[in-house]
Amino acid sequence: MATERFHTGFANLPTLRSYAVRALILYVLVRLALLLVVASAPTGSGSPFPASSAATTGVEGGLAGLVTAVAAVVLIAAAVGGLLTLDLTLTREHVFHANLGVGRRHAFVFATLVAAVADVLLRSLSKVAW
Amino acid sequence: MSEPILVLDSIGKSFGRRRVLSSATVHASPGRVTALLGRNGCGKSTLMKIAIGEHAADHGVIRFDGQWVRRPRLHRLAVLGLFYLPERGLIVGSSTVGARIDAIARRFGGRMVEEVVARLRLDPLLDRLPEQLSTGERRRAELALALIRAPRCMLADEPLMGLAPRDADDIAAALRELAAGGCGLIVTGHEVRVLLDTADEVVWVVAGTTHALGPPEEAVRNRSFVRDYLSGPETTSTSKTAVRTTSSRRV
Repeated sequence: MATERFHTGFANLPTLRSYAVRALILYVLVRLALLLVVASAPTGSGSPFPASSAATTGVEGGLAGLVTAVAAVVLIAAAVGGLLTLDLTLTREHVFHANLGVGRRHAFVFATLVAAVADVLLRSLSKVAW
Repeated sequence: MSEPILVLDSIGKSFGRRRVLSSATVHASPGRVTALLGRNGCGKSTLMKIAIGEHAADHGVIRFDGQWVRRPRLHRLAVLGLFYLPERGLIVGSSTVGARIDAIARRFGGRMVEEVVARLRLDPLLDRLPEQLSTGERRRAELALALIRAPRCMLADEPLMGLAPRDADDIAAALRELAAGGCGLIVTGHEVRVLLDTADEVVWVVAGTTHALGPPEEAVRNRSFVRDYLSGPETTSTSKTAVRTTSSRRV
């Protein structure tokens, strides 16, 4: 059973590769949208983005900063996974992929992972703020 | 006769208060084409969507290759040999026809790719995007995917809808070819002449249930079927034509 699943997953690589490209494009769009929202939001008291995150207070390495960063990665990744799944569903492209053996849940999980890895890399390389 | 590859047994389905299917049963047997006929809205497409997990049945049993499928999902059944041709939307998105064919051929080790492409006159269409295809071209491309996939079972929802006669004949020939290769097919539609000519057996969906009418020659002798579905002097004569063409094909 495990061998069969591995074989199926391996055979689905070309489809998953196309998902990876789309997930990365969606990731960039989500990231830019979030940066725009954060940039245009008021800071300080009453702000929906209080100055308590790792990037704005410099509490790098602290528990609060870590939790914020992880939450941000998870949210962005889930948004990308959801957008890709929505795109597949709205365009009805999921029927073709399902005929190939790739389900919508596979697409969601894969896109989420790609976005999470991309976000972690981007954060560690460029110190982009949430 | 060999064991059915796909069995939908006593399927029931309601959408809100509207009961579409009360107890519908249909089989796909290897090497045979089953025409699933019935009026618009009688539940033919719903039955297919239940088989692939797009809708959940209220009750009933689904078996694929002898195994009970508790929660059918197309991507799982596809690996086991099912191919689903929806009414529309198998070839959509930003990939060309050639890319779709390559994907199927790579995934399932497709055979006879060039032969299928040539036979279905797809050579000039390989670089085209889905929105650049006519209905007939799109259907031919979709049937090419099925032929290259060589599935064990295929559900084709209205594969002949809106097609010119030559395209319809190409599609019907492709369906027969799949059956000749051992595939069990269930095909829906309203193109009575071509469908009766193509099918080995007819299942009539009416009032939420199914009636297995047997071979097309017997189906068109069923008074209720003729009166309530075929109806009218014009269609009745069409069905007689179908009997003649079916008989001639078999002879």
